[in-house]
Amino acid sequence: MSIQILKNNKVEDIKGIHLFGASGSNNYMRAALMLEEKQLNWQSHSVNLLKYEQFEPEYLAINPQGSIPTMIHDGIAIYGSENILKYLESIFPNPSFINKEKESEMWEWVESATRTHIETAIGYLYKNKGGRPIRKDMVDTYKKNNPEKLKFMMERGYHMTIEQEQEVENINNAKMLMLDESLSNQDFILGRKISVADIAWLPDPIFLKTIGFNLSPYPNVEKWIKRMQNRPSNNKRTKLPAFKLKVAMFYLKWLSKNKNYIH
Amino acid sequence: MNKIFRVLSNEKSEILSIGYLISEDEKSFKIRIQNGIKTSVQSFKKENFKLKSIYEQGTKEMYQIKTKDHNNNDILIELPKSCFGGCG
Repeated sequence: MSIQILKNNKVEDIKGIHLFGASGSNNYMRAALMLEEKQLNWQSHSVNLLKYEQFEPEYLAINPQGSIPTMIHDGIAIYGSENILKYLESIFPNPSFINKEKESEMWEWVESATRTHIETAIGYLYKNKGGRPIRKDMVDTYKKNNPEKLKFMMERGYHMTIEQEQEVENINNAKMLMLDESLSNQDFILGRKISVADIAWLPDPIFLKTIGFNLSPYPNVEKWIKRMQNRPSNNKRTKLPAFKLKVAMFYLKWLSKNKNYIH
Repeated sequence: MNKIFRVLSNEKSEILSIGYLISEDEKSFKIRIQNGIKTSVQSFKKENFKLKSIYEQGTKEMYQIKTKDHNNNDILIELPKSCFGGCG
């Protein structure tokens, strides 16, 4: 399904759970994973980022940044994967993924996944020349709605210096090392049981590996990914489409050379 | 938990290193520096160096949602207004 539901209905009239996004996005995957872990009924709606559907007025009305994912639950719109995890855990506490003894640390872990997106996943994607270039006529829209992404594109994007590329490598290695060390003596990030922290973090190493990052120096992370993927939540609704993503990277690299795009 | 920072010179604001903060006192901070997959620990004096978080900052503004939980009890959820964890 697409964003047509937003054009045909008032948000407050949309009942049930509807997740808007794109299957190649680690942020979308984070929200989808939480919905599957909670065993909820939900519908997926595709947002075509290449067609800039995220900036259609109906979509901006539910996500002022013009980003994915956004979720509508019984007429309430929640944007950004971090907020979606917090909302779902509050509204649907069974099964609970809160680590009660380490709750504040758990939410710090969540933020360390969601709030480092540009510096880690996006940085690595553009370093490997596979990110979406921005069409020139969309620059003002980005300036208004998503200035952080535009700043990244202007300062780094497809034209990173060697030093900036090395910095991206170092940031991602530091992030994976942090995760690896947390998993050295335990099955999940905060102990023996899965928590929201694990759900928030899982898409990041999977996404990085798919776009070329070497995870082999982090054996605890690799074992944890397998452990997480043995759960029923690992299904076709939460799987990152690796082949599609790689093909898209080639296409986007080609598109970045078009004179109508900034890169 | 550890957080990842850039280490910058106070004078020129040049980025010198990336790593995570191990400890900090009034005069200095200790960073585990990342260099590829290798790491090393180094202390920096605050009079010469500063830390800059790699986190997206957004605004500090929050908003509240008044709704009902699955048991139909009233519930108030407070969330950041800034969008974190979104691809755009």
